[in-house]
Amino acid sequence: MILVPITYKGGVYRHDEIVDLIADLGGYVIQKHVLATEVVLLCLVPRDDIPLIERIGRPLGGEVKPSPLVGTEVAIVTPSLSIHHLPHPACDIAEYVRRLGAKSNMIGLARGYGKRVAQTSAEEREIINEHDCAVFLLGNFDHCIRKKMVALRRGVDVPIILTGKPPTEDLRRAVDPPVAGYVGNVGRFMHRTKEADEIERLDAIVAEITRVLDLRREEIAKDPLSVSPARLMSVIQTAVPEVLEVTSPTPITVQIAGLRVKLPYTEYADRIRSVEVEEGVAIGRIADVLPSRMRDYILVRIKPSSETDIVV
Amino acid sequence: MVLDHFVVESPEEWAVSAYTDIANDVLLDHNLVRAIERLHIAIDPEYPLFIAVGALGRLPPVVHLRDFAEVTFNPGKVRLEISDETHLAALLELLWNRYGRNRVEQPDRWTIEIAEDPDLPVDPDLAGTVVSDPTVGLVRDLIYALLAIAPEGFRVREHHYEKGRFWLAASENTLPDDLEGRVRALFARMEAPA
Repeated sequence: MILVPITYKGGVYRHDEIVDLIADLGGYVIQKHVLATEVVLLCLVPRDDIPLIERIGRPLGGEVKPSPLVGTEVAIVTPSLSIHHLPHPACDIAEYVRRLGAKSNMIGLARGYGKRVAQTSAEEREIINEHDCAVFLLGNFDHCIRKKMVALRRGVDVPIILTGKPPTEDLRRAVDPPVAGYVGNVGRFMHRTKEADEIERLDAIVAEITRVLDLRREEIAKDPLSVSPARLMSVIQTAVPEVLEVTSPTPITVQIAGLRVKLPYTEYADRIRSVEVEEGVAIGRIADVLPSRMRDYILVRIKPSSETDIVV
Repeated sequence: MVLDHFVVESPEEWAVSAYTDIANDVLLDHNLVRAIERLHIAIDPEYPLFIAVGALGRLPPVVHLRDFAEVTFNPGKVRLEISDETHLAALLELLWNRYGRNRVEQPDRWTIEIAEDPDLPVDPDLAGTVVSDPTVGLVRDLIYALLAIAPEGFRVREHHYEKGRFWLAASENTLPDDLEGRVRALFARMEAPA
């Protein structure tokens, strides 16, 4: 069964029926937003059952759209959190990526500015490496990007998508060895993105993130994970109901090959390790349960089946 | 943006359009477009060096005490009847510094009384005192805006304002020895007839 990421938008009235339907079909609701009279469900559902969800959702005013970034966590890295980079473009891009289903976290580097002095700290690198990919929002000068990227990419293991004002081809030439993705004609700007050409640039960023993450998924498919992250989320929600009381919009953030559980590591890590996914198979056996550098959260990294000899 | 002269120079063509937009947005956001008449920005990413030179348009007039208060000299005290509170804080600060807090009283919101003291009599031309110079605030806002326009890593900065003309230079390294010459050359380009 191939699960595909979608967004369901519809009225609050009888939306529970859709939630139940997705569960019955073997899908997972990753995130649920209730906005006044509207509900938005970010879900992973079996590909063949999308027409059925559309048919049942239509009388309830529901519409289904593919959302390629559902079930991913993306780091939006800006050189700093000063007026030069916020709220535009960093917030605009982070917010736009969220609309397509990704969970985006904005990471403002303490010393990411200046071509000579730019650097990242160990903590910043570790936080970036907890994500599925990192989008580096650099500025307007090819010369500076060329110099800065050497320092900024050091120690970052996740795929990097580089954005800047120079055209994509110039960005590609500026960075050696190459990074995973490039989006040109973005750079630093100080107004809200609302014109058609600006939205196109945001779409280009989303397309590049999608392309890079698809490659990552293909890579993972060669050696499948011991359990699907969405299933593991569902198992933890059932076995550790305290997580449902967390006020964060995503108490459990689903990643491509893991989860971020927003419960204190010291109190809950052992309990999560001992949760059984299936009889005799505890989470501790098929995944590493690690302390996250983000607050005191728990990071669950699912091991590939080649390492555990189990697929549940 | 409606400036008599607005030019951005840089060796990288895309940076020119980017910084033109940034300057446009920042000056609009800070309501400075009407105040500035000319602006010329040069950015060299290689050194790196950011220089902005410009000229303000018609400067706002200074605010005298007589513009918003009526001054009456009574025996033993001087009475100020305030008609506009906008500059009251600046006026009180000025009077406290000049005559001391113990001599300046504010019996109500619209009245200030200064007690007479033979050792330090109240200035007979008190009404002509300059209470506030809006240009000072304007220049402060202008420098803040220029720092928002300049690339963030350029932390070594110097700026100057005199008689409606201003310049700001910023760099990541120490500013070059020939900075004055470069600034003068930019002013010359800015002021050259089109």
